[in-house]
Amino acid sequence: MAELALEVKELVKVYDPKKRGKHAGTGPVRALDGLSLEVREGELLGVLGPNGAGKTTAMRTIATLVRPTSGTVKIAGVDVEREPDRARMLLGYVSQEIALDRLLTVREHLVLAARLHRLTSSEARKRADEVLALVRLEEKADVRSRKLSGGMKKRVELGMGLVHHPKLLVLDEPTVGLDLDSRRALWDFLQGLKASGTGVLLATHSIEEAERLSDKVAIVDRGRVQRVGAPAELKAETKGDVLEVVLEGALPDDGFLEEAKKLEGARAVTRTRDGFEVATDEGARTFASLAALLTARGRAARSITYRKPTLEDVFLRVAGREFREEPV
Amino acid sequence: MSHFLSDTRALTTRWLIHMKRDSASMMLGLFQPLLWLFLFGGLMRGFVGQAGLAASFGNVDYLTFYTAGVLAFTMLTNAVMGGLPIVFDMEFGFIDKVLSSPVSRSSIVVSRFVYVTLYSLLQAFFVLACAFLMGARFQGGVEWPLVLLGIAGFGALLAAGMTALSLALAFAAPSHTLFFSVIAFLLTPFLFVSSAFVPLSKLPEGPIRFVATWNPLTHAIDPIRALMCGEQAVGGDPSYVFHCVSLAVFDLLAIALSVAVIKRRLD
Ligand SMILES: Nc1ncnc2c1ncn2[C@@H]1O[C@H](COP(=O)(O)OP(=O)(O)O)[C@@H](O)[C@H]1O
Ligand SMILES: [Mg+2]
Repeated sequence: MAELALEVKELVKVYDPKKRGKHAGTGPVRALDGLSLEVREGELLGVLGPNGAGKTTAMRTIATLVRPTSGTVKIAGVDVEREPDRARMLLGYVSQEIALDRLLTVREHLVLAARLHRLTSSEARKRADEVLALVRLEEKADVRSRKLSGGMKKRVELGMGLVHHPKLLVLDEPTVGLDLDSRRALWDFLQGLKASGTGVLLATHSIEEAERLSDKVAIVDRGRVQRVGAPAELKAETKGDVLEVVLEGALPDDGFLEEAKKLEGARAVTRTRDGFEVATDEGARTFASLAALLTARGRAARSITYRKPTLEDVFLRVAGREFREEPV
Repeated sequence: MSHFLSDTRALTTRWLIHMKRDSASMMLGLFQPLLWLFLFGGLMRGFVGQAGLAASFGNVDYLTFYTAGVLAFTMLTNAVMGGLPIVFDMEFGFIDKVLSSPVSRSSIVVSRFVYVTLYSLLQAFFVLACAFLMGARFQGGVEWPLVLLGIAGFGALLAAGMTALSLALAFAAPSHTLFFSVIAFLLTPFLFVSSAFVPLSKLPEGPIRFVATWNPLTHAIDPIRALMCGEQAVGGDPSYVFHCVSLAVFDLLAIALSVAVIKRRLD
């Protein structure tokens, strides 16, 4: 069995309300509430959760940038609290926001990152050349960062996170703000990276991204891991079906959805762009009572289809609310 | 220790690249102290002569007297601005790349100090050359290489502590606006409540002279001035060792403070 690249146990982070800054006066915030995770070498763990779930706090705590209130983080077996510098050698961190030095070239960024991780100048230059090839930026090696496109900047960031060959790469929402092509390229890149044995921890609020890339997904809500497993496993665990209803015309505002919730066997109802969805344990009976409701209300459905649950439905089940809703 | 040196070198390289690429700011910065020299120095030089105040300045040429102040003040300004790139690194998040690496925390402070000192020396010799063209002369009877060495040494001692304080402020201030406000607020009193314009002994007695006596700027200006103008310009024995030790103690306190602030910044 592969070694653990990351082991997080019972992490709690309460932000201090007295501190000044942009979060001043918000009262104590329990951003992490007993979060535990494991990433094996060569494995990609997707941390999937809506905005405010605590993903960034978790990533920053693992990257030694936030001090946890309690709990432990070990990177390749090294405790970050006890031996921070050894742990930092084993870790690559790519933040949510792009933050490059506008006056430095691509190569200078990579050399700097390598030097910050204690490689000698000549080693650093060699590694920078390797990484330039890896992130396909050879042609831009001597271009200043401010002249790069968003996708290229993100690749520089990625290169900086990898130049010292970390055991664990921590990525906080790496494709937010990227165009579709760059996003696809990054996804391909991450698939390739796993083969090198690097453990990857990837925070995302994109279900598609989590599903596509993750060996395992940890569904995080309110600072805790609510479920963890391979995407297929999680979906299989979530029994039942989903009825997708596409209506003729707009969804009426007259409590129709409230009534739909009372349909036989219905567990949850969510509004969609052109209708709604009903999660159910008893598809056939729900279907029958749904048809009756539509008739009673004089509404026509353009289509009613069954589908298997997605990760979104898994989230709905564990969190008791829609993925895109803010927590209360 | 070996890590500390190579870490400092790695970080300093970044600042030197900045110096090379941001040449417009560098040139402006280089000329800035000349304004102090020409405007205030030129003005006061004539005034001191006409008003018969020369004796107050130990009968040394006011321009030379004042150049010592400009030199020290230039280094001070560079040093207190030394934290600025870090303020922006924090606002844009670049600092996370530094702090999530094992790079030695004190090398962050020291790399800024090395940069500030290099730049300040460049500026200092530029100022000296201009003052010389305006007619200022070393008149302390000290060999000129020794004078230059003294300027560099006391300047660096002042810059070390001031850079450290600036970094402490950079890490503690939540935004660049506060950083600028604090510096703008403190810089003027720092300058005036020191021996930059008039000797310590001619400052009004009471709080002003008391603060000036403790002002690190005074401890850099007086020995530099004594080297450039002679002992009479500082009203007697310049006690180089005393100034040197005072500045060193100030440096140690300031560096300890800034490293503590950096470490505490982890929320
Ligand atoms: N520095 C901070 N001070 C106070 N509260 C914070 C701070 N950073 C994040 N939070 C709060 O912690 C919670 C989790 O935020 P975050 O970790 O950014 O979540 P995510 O990355 O999943 O969107 C949110 O309620 C957020 O407002
Ligand atoms: Mg986030």
